Amino acid sequence: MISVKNLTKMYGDFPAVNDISFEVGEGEIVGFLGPNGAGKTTTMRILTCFIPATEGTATVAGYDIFTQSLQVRQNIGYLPENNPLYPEMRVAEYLNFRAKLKNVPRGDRKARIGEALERCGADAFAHQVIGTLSKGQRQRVGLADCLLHNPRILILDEPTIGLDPNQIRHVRALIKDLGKQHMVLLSTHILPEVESVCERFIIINQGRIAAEMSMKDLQRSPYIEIEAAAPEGDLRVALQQLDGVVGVKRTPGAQHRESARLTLELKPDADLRADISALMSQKQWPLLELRQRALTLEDVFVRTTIQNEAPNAPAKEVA
Amino acid sequence: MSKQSLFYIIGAALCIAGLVLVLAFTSAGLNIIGGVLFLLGCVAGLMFTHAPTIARRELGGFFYSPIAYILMAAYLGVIAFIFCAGIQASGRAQTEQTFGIMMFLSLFICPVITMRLLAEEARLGTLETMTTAPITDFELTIGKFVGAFLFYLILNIPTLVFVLVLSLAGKPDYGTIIASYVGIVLFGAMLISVGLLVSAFTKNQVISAFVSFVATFLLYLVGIMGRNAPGIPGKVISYIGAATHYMDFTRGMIMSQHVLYYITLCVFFLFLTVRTVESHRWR
Repeated sequence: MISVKNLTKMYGDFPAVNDISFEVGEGEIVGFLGPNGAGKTTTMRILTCFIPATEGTATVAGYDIFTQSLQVRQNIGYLPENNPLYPEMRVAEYLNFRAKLKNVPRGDRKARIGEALERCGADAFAHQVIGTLSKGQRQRVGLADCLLHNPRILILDEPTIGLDPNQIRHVRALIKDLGKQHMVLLSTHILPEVESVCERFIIINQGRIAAEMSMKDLQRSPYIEIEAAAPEGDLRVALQQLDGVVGVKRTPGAQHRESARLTLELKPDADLRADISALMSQKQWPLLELRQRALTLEDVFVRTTIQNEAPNAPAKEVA
Repeated sequence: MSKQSLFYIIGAALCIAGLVLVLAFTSAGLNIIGGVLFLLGCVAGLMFTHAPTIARRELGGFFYSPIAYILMAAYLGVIAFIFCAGIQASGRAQTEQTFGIMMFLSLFICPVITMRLLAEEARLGTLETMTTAPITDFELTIGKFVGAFLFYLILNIPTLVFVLVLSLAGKPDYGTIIASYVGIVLFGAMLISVGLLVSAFTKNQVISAFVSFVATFLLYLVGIMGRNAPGIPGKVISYIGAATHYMDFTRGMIMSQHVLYYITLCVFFLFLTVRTVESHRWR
């Protein structure tokens, strides 16, 4: 449904989006994650034909975003960041205007508007002036606008920003419900949102894709934190040879000077606790701590987005 | 073939036929028929696009804000004053001064009408929802133009009262009045196309209004400057000026060269506006 190939967007010399490729399939709800300024909004704007890419191509709903822009736009419902609306119009009037722009046939218009209002819980204030609405109500109007022409793809840029907890719950439930009939690509930097709504997530950092995983794989990927009184190099080599270990990384926070603390990344569904304990007794290294946890989205997010900032850290200390 | 492209072709054919009638024949009757055909062609070509939808929203937008009413009051007030003063001074049922001042006032009014058209969309961010809807940039531009132009026409409708007053009190020259209205309408169309172009460049309405006022006022002044300049440069400069082409209308002449001048400029600036709106996509 969405297929992005080597997309790059330069603002002057600065690459806002740097050579990213990903695919989103029919009926998926995909979370598009990243710190502020990572390139989420830029990518979405390219996919919705608002701005062009500098390099690369993408197809949305089978149409090329450069050469078949009108067909692409006919097939997407797009909620831009901070949801711009005309403050002087009434809700129903605005949706009628949008429905005309989106080529909803005259006969269907009333029904489609009514349905969109009802699904988004906006029918109660359909005749109010948009300027008098609360933020949550405005967000519902924006979502209703996305649904008017029954698009195959919904692209939502931070749909829950600025909402109170109840409204966030409502919007999340709505998006989940919409995911049954539409493909949803939703950007956010609120991690629990992705955990509760999305089936898959793509983490983007400094214009590049930093991680891409389905929620199921995430829950099946454990990792182990281990602390043992042993020379770090030897411990690392020994652990790396275990079957099922994908990576070993040094972790700060060792409690003794002689002990080493490491984090092991494991293959999905692996359980190495018994193997490690056997290894320790064989080598006669006292095991001080061993903890196995499922990977959380936060772990992945922090690990993939924080590393790249490390080079800046010393500079800050000097200043 | 879709209904839309069929109507595009019919519209284009009507417009071309109209222009031929206006340009190739000298008979007044044929010229008027040509003008009507041209307008019909425009309407037919745009009927099944999104332009009417956008124009209607835009026109409605004017009346939501107090701007419409303030503009109307100011415009009509000044014209009424000049109208009375002109008749009292001359004692004749003449309209030349009134239409002259209507034109002059349009220089101030039109930038205020056009300042919000695209600048407001850019400021609110609604340009993003607008340009990601399945509409072409041409439809957006023409829709905005037609909306503002219709508002300008509505602004001028109450001035028909002055014609009524004249017809009750004396015997005005209706030919001159019709010609003057044609001039006002064409002049306004040109001013609005300039204002629309300027408003596509900025998010700030004040800048938009001021720059388009300066631009159109220069276009107006250039003609007056050229009148005093000697030789061919003087003639060229005076031809470029907008005022030169207006005078004949107020004297009761609809001359095709003047009509073409305004229509050409209007189309030219609309073309530039479409390109400017498009440029948001490749910047």
